Amino acid sequence: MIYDVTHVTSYEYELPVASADFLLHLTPHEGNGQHVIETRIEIDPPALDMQARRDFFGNRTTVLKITRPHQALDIRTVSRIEVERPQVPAAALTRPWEAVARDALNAPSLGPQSPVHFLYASRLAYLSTPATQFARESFAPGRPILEAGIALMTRIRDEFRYVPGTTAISTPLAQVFEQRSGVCQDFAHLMIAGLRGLGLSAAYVSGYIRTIPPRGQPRLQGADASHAWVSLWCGAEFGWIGLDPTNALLIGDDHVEVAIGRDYSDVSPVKGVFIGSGRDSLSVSVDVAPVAA
Amino acid sequence: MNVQRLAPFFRAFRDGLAHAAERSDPRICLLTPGAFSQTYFEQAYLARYLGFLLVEGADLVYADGKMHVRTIAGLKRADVIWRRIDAEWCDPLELNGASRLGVPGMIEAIRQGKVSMANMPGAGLMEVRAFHAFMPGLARHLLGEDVRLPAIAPWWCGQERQRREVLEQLDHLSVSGAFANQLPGFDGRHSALVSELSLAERERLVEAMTARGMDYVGQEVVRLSTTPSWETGGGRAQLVPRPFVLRVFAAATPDGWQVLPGGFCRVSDRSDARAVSMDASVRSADVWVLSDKPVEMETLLPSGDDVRIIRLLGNLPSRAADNLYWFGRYLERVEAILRIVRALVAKALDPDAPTRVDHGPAERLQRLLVSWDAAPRVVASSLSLDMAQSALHDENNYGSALSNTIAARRAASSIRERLSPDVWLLVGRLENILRKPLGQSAVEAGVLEQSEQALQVIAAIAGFVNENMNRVAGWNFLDMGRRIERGINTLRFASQFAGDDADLELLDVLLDLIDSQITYRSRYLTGATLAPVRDMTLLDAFNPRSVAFQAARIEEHLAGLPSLRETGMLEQPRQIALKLKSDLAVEDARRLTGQTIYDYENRLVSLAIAVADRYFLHDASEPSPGKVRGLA
Repeated sequence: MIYDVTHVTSYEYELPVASADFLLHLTPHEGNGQHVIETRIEIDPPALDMQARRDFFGNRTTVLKITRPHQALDIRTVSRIEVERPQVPAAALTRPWEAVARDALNAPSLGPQSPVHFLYASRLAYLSTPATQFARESFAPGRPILEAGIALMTRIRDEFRYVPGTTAISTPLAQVFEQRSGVCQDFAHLMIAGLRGLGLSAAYVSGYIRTIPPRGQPRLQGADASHAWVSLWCGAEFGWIGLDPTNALLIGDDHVEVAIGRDYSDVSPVKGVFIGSGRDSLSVSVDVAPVAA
Repeated sequence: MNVQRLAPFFRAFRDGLAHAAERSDPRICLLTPGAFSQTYFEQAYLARYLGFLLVEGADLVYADGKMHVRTIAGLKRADVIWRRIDAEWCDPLELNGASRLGVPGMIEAIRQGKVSMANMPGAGLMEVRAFHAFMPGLARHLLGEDVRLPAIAPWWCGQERQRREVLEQLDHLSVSGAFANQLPGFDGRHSALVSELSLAERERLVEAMTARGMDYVGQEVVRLSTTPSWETGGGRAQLVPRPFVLRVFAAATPDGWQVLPGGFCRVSDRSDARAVSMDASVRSADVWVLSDKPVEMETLLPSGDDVRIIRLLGNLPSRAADNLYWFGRYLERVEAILRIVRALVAKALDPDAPTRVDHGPAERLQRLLVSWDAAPRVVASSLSLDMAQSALHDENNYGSALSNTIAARRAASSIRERLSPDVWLLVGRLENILRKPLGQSAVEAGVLEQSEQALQVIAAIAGFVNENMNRVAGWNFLDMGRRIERGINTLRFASQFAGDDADLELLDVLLDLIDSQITYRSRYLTGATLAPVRDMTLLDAFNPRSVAFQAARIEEHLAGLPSLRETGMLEQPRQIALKLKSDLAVEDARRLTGQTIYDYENRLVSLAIAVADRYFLHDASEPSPGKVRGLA
């Protein structure tokens, strides 16, 4: 499957902003079943200094600085990506989760993909007793890890309502639990926190999904958005496997990955610091268009 | 008593920092979280003692791969940064995005090797307890020797065998967080003596350590040494043994590590020598190390012939200039509000006051207060007294005298080291006066009395500033802030009370507002007349309240500040100021109109913007309320 993805972030400022610094995680990464055919970032007004880098996890980042006064800013990323993910292993074939937890902790590698980085509490996916207890219900002793992971993901989809606007990045997990609603990144953080609470290694993936199936309707319909899900380390043999708790889907050809980190704060698509005194407003639009082969 | 002196250590420490820099004569900055920090005093003291520049995040900027300090003379390279903020807060771009203490780009500058930081972000790893478990092994592996200070190494329960051992002898151990300062799952506790846990707590701990052993370390219970401690209580005083911990300091220097011959001791007030929780009620003590020989006198404070005579001290950081300037502006704005309030209340007192309702003095005075956000809306003149009180005391009106005083204090708090203690005290007194509303039973005389008191305090502050403050850049900015604000305010007064339709009554109010009633009467035998009043308010270079006088002082201040232009061409603020000063000097009061008065106000506002752009706004600073409202 080939997609054209357009992701536009627009800021408007009440008063002119003298200078702005941004760190972007907007360029999709290569590999893991996807190939980036073409990608570019356009900034308006133009940036003085724009540098492509890689972060610790191997994600492609862009750092830019705008030093002229401006009252509006557009960051537009346009990418063409081919997605053809390998077959996900049969869940029953994966090893018991306790054994995988042990292997994750003892993994000798310190490389960016090593499960050791994703075992510990992080800023937004910190350990939380309710999250761990919730996860434990799906992780009966000896259960194959992927089977249990799918069960947990499905329970999150079933027991939590997708309601945009009821949470923010900073909403504590405990509140998400209490209100039983949130958006994709809440569900991802919640699931990661639960998995880590059990001693498993789980990562946060930011990206796009072509369509989000509305609750109660079987048919997929167009609802493009910036999306987030979970990647679970399933042992050395199978490595990382993506699970989308918002839609109860295994990551396949409908998903486009952008970046992987410990939680949202490692991979937030647009992180900026600007110096100005007025209010600012932000709007984001994402378009994921399949390209006819 | 042959106490070993600390100066050699600090000299070595300073050399170590300088040695880490790329350039030979490096600028070393102490990065502080700011005036609200509990240890700000120590930081300011150390910076002064060691000759470092005390900076906050807003003082620094990343450009061209390097770190710089923003000063009024442009960007100056920061070579070394002694960090007193948590690593996580260093760089809002790459680390914690909520940080307002750090600088975007700081991590990249470190990566580029263009700034040296002590300690480097990440050094905190060495304090992590899980790491201590590996210290003996690491020392042998990396250095080929054993650790010199024996320690009781904890067992990191992220290893299967160690975890088993810890669980087997759990009741004899203390358990702590392996990475966090907190014991995971036990909110607010640093560690636990397992033998003292309740059965339920113990069970919970075992369960947590089984699920995530890697978050815990177990350690033999340490028995702390004790020190004699003088305790009073229960009616008698006695010496008792009390457990203590000693904090020591070491610095990397060109000649290797040096240890401070002294330290910081924390003495517990409990006798339980097993308790490591030293956080609650502890006393701290200075630790001296004695020598068996007489100690050579050594100090970093220069003495005798060594002292280099200095009159000017480096470049003023832009943030300090910004705060001094706004301190001046806020105070002047308080003064303007007070003068309006005084005039408004006096009007209400005057039994002979004409009863004209529309566009009379009371309404005009009220309108001024509203335009400054000192009061919410214009009211009937019978309610003038209420409005006057609200303009003085109401913190919800964000231009009230109280609000502006609080803003002035806030600006002053981060530049306290640049203001005399007297000034600081007087600002507090001003706030106290304005925090005491007289309430519903107030009479005009009471409010008048209060405004007078407040005006006197402001005059006292101005007196201290003028008589005690060195005539260096800081003073230039403080006074320039006052002058710009006073110029703008006076022009606003003139627009309201000396417009083309002004009558005797309005002109009379204006003379009160600019405190020139007596001078006017001594010069002119007639009552208030338009052209002479305009001349006195706007053009009279001898009147310290006139706009022309402010323009001349502003121009002098700007002439005394460093220029960024090497061509000798005037910078923009100076250009505007010079032209403004000259135009006012040659202006003829009889040709003035309401429109020209308004034009002068706009020119002064654009001067204020040019000053901010040139000296402060490289990026800088917290939004000040005045700026938010576009008051320039």
